[in-house]
Amino acid sequence: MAKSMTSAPFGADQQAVTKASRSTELGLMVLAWIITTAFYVLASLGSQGHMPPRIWLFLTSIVVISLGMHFAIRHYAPHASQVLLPIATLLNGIGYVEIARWNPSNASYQALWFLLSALAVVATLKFVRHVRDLDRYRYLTLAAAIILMLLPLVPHFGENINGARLWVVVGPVSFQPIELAKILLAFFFASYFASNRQLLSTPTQRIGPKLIVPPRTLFPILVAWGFSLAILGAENDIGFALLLFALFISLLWVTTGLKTYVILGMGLFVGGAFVAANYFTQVHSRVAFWLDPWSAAHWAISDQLGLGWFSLAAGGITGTGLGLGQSGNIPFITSDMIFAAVGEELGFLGIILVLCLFMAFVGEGFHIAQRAHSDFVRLAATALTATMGFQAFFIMAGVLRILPFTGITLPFMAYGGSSLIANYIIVAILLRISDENANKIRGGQVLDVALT
Amino acid sequence: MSRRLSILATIILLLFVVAAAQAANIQFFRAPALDKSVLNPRVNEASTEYPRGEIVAGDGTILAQSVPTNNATYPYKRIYPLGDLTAGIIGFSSPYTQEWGLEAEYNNYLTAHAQPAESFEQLLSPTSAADTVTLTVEPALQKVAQNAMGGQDGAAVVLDPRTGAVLAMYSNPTYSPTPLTSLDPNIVAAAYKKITTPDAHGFPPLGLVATQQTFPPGSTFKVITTTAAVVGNPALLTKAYPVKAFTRLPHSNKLLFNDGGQPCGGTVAVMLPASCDPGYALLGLDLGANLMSATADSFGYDQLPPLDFPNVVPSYFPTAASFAANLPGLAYSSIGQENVRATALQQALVAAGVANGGEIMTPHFLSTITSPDGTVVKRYQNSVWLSPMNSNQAEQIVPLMENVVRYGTAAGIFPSDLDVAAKTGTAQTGNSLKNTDDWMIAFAPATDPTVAIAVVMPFQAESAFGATVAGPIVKCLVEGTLALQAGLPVSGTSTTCPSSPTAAAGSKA
Repeated sequence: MAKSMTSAPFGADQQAVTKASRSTELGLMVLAWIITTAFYVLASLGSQGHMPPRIWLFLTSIVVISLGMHFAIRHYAPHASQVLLPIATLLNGIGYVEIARWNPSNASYQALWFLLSALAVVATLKFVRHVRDLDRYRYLTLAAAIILMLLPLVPHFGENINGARLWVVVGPVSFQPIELAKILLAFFFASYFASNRQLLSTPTQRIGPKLIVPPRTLFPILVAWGFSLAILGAENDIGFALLLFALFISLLWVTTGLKTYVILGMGLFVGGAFVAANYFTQVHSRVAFWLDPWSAAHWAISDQLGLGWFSLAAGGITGTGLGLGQSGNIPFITSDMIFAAVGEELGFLGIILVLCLFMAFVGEGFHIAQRAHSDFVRLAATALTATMGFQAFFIMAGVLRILPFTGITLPFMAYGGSSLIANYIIVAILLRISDENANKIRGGQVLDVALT
Repeated sequence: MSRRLSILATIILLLFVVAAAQAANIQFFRAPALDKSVLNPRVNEASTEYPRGEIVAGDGTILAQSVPTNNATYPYKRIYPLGDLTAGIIGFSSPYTQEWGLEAEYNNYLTAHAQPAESFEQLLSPTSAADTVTLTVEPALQKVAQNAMGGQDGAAVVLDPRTGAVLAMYSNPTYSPTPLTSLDPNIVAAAYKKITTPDAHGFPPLGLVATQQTFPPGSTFKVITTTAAVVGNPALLTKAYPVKAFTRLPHSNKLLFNDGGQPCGGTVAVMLPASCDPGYALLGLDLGANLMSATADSFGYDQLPPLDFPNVVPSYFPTAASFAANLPGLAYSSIGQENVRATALQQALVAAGVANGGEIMTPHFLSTITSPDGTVVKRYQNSVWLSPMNSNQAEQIVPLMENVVRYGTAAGIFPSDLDVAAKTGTAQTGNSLKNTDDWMIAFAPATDPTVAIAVVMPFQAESAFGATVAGPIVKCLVEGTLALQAGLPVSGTSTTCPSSPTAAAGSKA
């Protein structure tokens, strides 16, 4: 940033831009606060018949914490994208209203997670000044990711919740290390793919009449990916396995443009899914519940998906109104099933709102990726954005029964500290990348970057 | 790579569009079915958490109400103070089965629902309560019908021809709704099995005979044949048909005998009171298939009567085309035999149409729906359903039906001070069983009718007649209704009307 300021032809412009630049973000944030507060008040009036008791504390907290992030961005990344934080704040707010509605004690924790997330955003912006620097820690990120993913398997430390061993319990707090690991893995994939792009996309080895990519090139990444999936298999979590798989195939294709990888990947996936559905009991039952949640035998074991559909149906087009839904009997309503609660109280229109917010987020993420000036940064932005998009889709698709239910969290909305903090860190990294993009365009460092 | 990034972005955005499409599918197209699913806890919560609304008779008698229980899951249960007297029309509401009868018809009002807000807080958090449904039904007349029918299978329908209001609708077999409202699912299941099992005549108690069972209307159909002549071919009214005990049917060697075998004939004015079968068969052939079929439909045959009641079935008259190769069929159909079938409700509407100057008013049970604070949510608006004839044409038919009572087939049934117009019907059914379905339709006072009635008593002895079996029941209902409308006590108007269901056993003879 300091370098760009010295650039004479753009200096005057940039000063003006710097001063005015973040008013859009602030305006959108104010809108997010108003909507969230209105929803919070309506939900309380609807369910309790009176104003929420600590409305001023609520409003002050959300405004102060958000403003903290806003000013940190002004300071550390003044030219960053202005829509990401308001989108995250609004999704977070709508989710919080539903959490407060169905599980007030979870809501207090969620408020704490929000505060920690804001601190994580500030810390990320402060310490990650150049995303391209992270390219240096390729195998360190991989090692850290693997250690994080192994943590839940440590006896007395990890815990089984809802059939999956994904949690680490420290004192009163349980934590899902996979949420942070997914960011590290995204960086590892981006780094490896970026530096081996040529090798990966040029088939040189001959097998019969066809040329293929030398298996040696693919070896490390396949090992890393296979190891990740193996750990997840041990932890019995199909949600993140599916997420990592989608991320891996997407990045491989974006990097190389070879459809063979996609076809091969899909083949592996179908085969893997078939084997898993037949031999892993959790996968088998998830698929069975997905295909027919209504049969008496399935209903007796889990009525979660069916009740979710009843909630969505009760919501109809315009919703029952905040505070008037009856989703309380759905297991995991504040985490896995929060999309159903939103669908009931805000209706199809509310679902469209949430979908539009995610689409805007993903669109902005790809926009930032497009403008990045190195392969690594571009792939990192792509990986983080695609992770967010796929994760949101997979859990919504699970509730809507487009896909089997995977029980991963709905980014920003579902209850969960690790998920919220990790997703805010993704926001911070995307903010940093977009700030770099803006600086480079203005600062005349294009050549410099292109050479690296 | 830039192009592939755009493609990946598009793919992810399209996934969200797929999610939106599926949300629309669930929340719009599949929502009605999901909302009603038996697995949906909202269905039971709504019907058990709050008391259901009351169903009240025209005279204020409570026909259905919810009372508190000490069961935590089902804090309210339904009681029906009049039991089997109104079970057929009220139906029942149980946590273990779907609603039946008027409980089902007006379920949306009877189930607790959000009430209009009276304060800002209520606007945001609506209170739930159910409406009260007031019917046109008069329990006293239900009782008259039940007593007069003496436990025999059959149906009686009493309408106010001026409005279409159902004053009474009683059918045997009936059932006690009490075990069906039990909180013990086993008791409910046993009772439900019992009321869905057909009796010796094939009628399950749960299916209301008056609206769900059709019978050959026999000679009561001659009112429709007469209307066809009055409206469509008045010249035939003056044609004198030969006085004979039988007639030979065209294109066949079938002989159609008059009921009872005595010779009968003349003009329509002579033949209706005496109910001449051969003459009316020839009249029907003269009127032709098109006119007969169209006239039957103009009274509501082959259509669903718009009664505010579930599971009503239409009555049936064959299509005109079906008679092209079956002229004997047209002859039999003109006297309400062969394939013609009618519900008691349909024939009551025929009587009501003639009584109301040719206009059949839409039949209805509903009087008003009131919210808990007493405001009228819905008031039934009377409307004309069908107009088979104009008032001048109706006036030509009324005296013929009066003569049925004065010196025709219903002579001696009604006290001479009652000005009643009627038509009897005795349909032979079953080739080997040799039963009769005995009918009477009537309205009174003939000069300015305020009541229209149809009674059908199926599976009666071969020797029985509409006049002898259905006649006394209609008489009691006419007397009862006119007394009620005059503000007099219904019971005790006639010593010949039974005061309990069993005392009427003598009317079988």
